[in-house]
Amino acid sequence: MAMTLNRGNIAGMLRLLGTTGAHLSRATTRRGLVPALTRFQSSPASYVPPTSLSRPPWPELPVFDPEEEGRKHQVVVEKVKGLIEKGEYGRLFAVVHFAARQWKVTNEDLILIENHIDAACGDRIRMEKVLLVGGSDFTLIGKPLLSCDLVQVHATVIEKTESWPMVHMRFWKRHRFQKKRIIIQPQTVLRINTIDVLPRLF
Amino acid sequence: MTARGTPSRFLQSVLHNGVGRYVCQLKRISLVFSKKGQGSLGVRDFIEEGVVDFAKNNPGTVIYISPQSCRIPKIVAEYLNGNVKEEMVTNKTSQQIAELITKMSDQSGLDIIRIRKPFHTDSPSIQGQWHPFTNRPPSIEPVGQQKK
Amino acid sequence: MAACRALVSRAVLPLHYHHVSRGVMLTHVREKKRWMKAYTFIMERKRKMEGPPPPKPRSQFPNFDYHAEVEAFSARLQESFSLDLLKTAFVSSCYLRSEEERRRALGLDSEMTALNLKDNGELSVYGQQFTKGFLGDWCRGSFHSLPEEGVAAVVGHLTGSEVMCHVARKLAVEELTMSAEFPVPDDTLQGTFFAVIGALEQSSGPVSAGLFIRDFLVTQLIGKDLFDMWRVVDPMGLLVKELTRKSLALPEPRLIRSAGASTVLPLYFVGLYSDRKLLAQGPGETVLAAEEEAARVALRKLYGFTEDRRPWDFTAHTGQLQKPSTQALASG
Repeated sequence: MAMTLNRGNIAGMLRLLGTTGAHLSRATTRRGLVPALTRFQSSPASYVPPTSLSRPPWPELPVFDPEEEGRKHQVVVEKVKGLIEKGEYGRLFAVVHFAARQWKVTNEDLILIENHIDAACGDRIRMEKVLLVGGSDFTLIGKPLLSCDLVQVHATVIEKTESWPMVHMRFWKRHRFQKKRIIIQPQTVLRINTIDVLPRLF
Repeated sequence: MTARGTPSRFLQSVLHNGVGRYVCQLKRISLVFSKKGQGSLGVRDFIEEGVVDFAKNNPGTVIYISPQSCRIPKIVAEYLNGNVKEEMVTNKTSQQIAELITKMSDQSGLDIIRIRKPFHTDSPSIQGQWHPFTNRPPSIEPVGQQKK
Repeated sequence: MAACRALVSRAVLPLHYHHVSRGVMLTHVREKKRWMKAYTFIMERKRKMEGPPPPKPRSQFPNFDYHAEVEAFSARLQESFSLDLLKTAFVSSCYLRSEEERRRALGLDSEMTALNLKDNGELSVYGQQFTKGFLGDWCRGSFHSLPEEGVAAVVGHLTGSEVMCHVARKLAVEELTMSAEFPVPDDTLQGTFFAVIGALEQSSGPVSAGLFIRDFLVTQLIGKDLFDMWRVVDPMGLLVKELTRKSLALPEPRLIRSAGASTVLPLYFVGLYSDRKLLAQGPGETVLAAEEEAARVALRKLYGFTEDRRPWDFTAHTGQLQKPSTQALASG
């Protein structure tokens, strides 16, 4: 039975290998009454040399131990907590969901939104949907959002203007068909003032 | 015209506005209108009703009312970066002129042309910009596949 | 004349009509104007010969009320200036001298027309001292390990004529300055801006003036690199001096990476190790250039001027300046 090796067939291949391996192991463990038979079966006649498909292509990982993983996570959390509490971070960046887009922002940078917001020029705004906050030594990733006890991103509305007049034209040649429309979008420019991380990690 | 045929600029602000304090960028507004013409009716109504409120709300902007004999009434706005914007307000109502003036006071004087990117940052990389030698162990040998 | 004005104000000019001054159109209104072509060519040639007209200050154009402009200037910056001090701050000495000469040339009595204006010289000196002191303190507070030459270089860059004039022009200080020449020369504008800061300090106190300097001069440092402002000829020597001062081991340069050594654009990474620990690494086209760059990177790290340093706090004391509506906006 010729089977091609591709992603779809790997499972099938492994099942085959698994069944052959299980058959071998079953032969060795259950039939202890006939050890000679098993020794006979593990003779060089049935020796399979190692090939590229002898073992799965992903690396063999140790068995998952939830307690050890929990301990490792705790170490990382304590380390990050210590960094944040002592304030040993420099410039922070955040990924913020605003106006149907995600922006990677940091202090003192500008953002252009293609609509008007309710705030007047010069007002200070806090952005609520923060997905990620990071510095040079740590990153806090939200699932999907980080709470506002942890991170606060403040911005100022600088300008509420209109976009340049964009020409939306459709033309079919030789069909006497053309439509023209000038589109002017309202725009708001925000300046991100601060990104604060508060030392209260769960 | 098209985006390629017209000038474009990057998103910027005048003098890092907003980082320290917010400064209203409109410095002077002149209402040029005629005392008798029909096209200046809206401007005259706006001067009667809305100009004083606007002036109180924007103490940093100087408003000049100059009645002249002109056919087309204009609003001339001058901004802190030196740009001057003229808008013709013939046959507009007082309400429309009020909206137009608030729009002009919210704008900064930068050119209204295509903005290339909707963001601007002075510190694009915090964790260090990636270059092909990041996360490679140091070696002087020629660059090749990494040995695990 | 009425007919000619009606003709010229049409949306589309008829044939042989050009926009010329009204005085020329007084006679010969109806027939073909054979002189029009020659006249317009001569005017074009004259314009090309003379070049663009010299710039005039805004105060000489219509719609300019000095008192209102000065009040708006103080309101726009959200500061409360004392208007007398502010108006004194805008008067420069060259203006006073030119005005005196003009009045003497016109033959007016010097007693009758004594200018009641004072110079901004004292205010300018006072403002300069205050600004340099404030910026020096701020620099030393933000960068503890920056040596005095570095602090002096940064303060000198910020109070230099380029940055000061740029800021002054964008704050409409140039329009309000009274000076003899236009466009206002850089040093006059710089002096006027210092005088404005001095006037602010005397009107509202040093805290307000400090916030003003922070909001308009310190923001010019955003995104700038230390060695753009401070010209260091020998970074390695400076680094050695710094490390000996801190009694750390001397830096040893080692070649970390190299690529394309035999090509037109070779790349070398040199790392500086002090006591077997990596201080900094820097790239360069030659090994010497890479070593110098590594020394610069090490100096930036030592002085705390890296790109990932803690950004400066511009929000302190702006609670009074911000509008009271602090909204949490959840637009998505």
